[in-house]
Amino acid sequence: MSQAQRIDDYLGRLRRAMRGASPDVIAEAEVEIRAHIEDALAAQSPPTPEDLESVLDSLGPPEAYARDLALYMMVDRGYREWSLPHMARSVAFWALSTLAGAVVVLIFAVLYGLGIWLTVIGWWSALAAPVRLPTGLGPFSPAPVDGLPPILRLLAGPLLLVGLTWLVRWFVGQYVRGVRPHLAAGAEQASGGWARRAERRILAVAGLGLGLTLVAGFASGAYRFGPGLAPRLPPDFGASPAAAASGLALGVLLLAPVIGVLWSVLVERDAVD
Amino acid sequence: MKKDDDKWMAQMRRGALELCILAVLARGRRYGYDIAQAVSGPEGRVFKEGTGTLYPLLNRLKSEGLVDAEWQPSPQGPGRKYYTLTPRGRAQLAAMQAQWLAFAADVARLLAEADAAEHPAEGLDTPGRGGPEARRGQEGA
Repeated sequence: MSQAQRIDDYLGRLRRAMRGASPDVIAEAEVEIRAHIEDALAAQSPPTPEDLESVLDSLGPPEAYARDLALYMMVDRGYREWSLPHMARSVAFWALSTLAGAVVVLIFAVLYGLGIWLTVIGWWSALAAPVRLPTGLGPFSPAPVDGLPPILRLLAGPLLLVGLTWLVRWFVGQYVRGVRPHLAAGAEQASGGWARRAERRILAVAGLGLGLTLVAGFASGAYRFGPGLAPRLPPDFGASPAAAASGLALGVLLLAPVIGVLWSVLVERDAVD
Repeated sequence: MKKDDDKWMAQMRRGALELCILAVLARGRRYGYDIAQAVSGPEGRVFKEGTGTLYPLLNRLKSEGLVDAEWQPSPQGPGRKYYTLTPRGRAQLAAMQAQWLAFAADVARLLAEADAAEHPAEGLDTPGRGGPEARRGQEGA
């Protein structure tokens, strides 16, 4: 393998480890790391294949730092720029990369849903008041904003959406300031450090709990939907083994953060992050 | 014991690296490799390996407004990203420097006290020869 191929191979691993980030962010990181390698080689005259390996060794495996690099570049851009697509992509990357991001995004997804719902029923109620839907049909009737003045019906939802956007941006800013990248050197950090592994365990436990509770719950009839699509538990909930398993899995889901951290503590007692 | 030493050094590096980067940038604008070289020093004690982790840290410092980054064209290639210290970064460096010096003085005092407690006779019998620095000099001689 030639020197250029070896460098391309390393940068290819860097790109793969940054998967999910914006192409321009990946390109910028690649140019900067390539410049680092070339600068380091330029210090040797002429550079040998051993020199190149030494430079790459000193940089460390790209998997050890690429995710943090992408996360900081993405989140920083999402925080600084008022471009909705960029913010959405940055926040999605944050949610996929960290547990904190996943939790914040999940909560805000519910709140955004509420904002969109308020916008739709507010505008419907204010602009199409004469057209009434049959009682109990969908989320439009009875409209919870009927008592408000028309201007408030029109503005409540959009104001909530704008406010939520400000709040998400604030959360991202707090995250950027509060979290330190993993800085311990070496291949042992390639998997992202103790905290990152604990996050993955939490997500795995939560996913298992969610899947089991849904499958067992609906299979046993423990979970049903009542009128208006509101989930409702039957009075004899827990009578069948499947329903009991569903309840247990629900407990696992709720306790996922505790279980995931305990798991990590027990498995990696000596780990230092 | 070696593993414990490595962990301890990793924690030391992690704590000191941010301060070292700010100190290096206080001397003027620099690019990534240049910063890595300056921070490593001849012995490579502060930043020995895994220099790639420097880049996430630089981006975090940028996010905090402590450093600025700017691409400059280069005659040899696609250009270099230069980092500079912002006024906020200078203030942060001054605060961290004061904390570090006070912390280092406290640690040095504790180590000197521990050393004196471990070798009380040397300190009494041979005044001026019982301190850790004096002993190091004797060992090196």
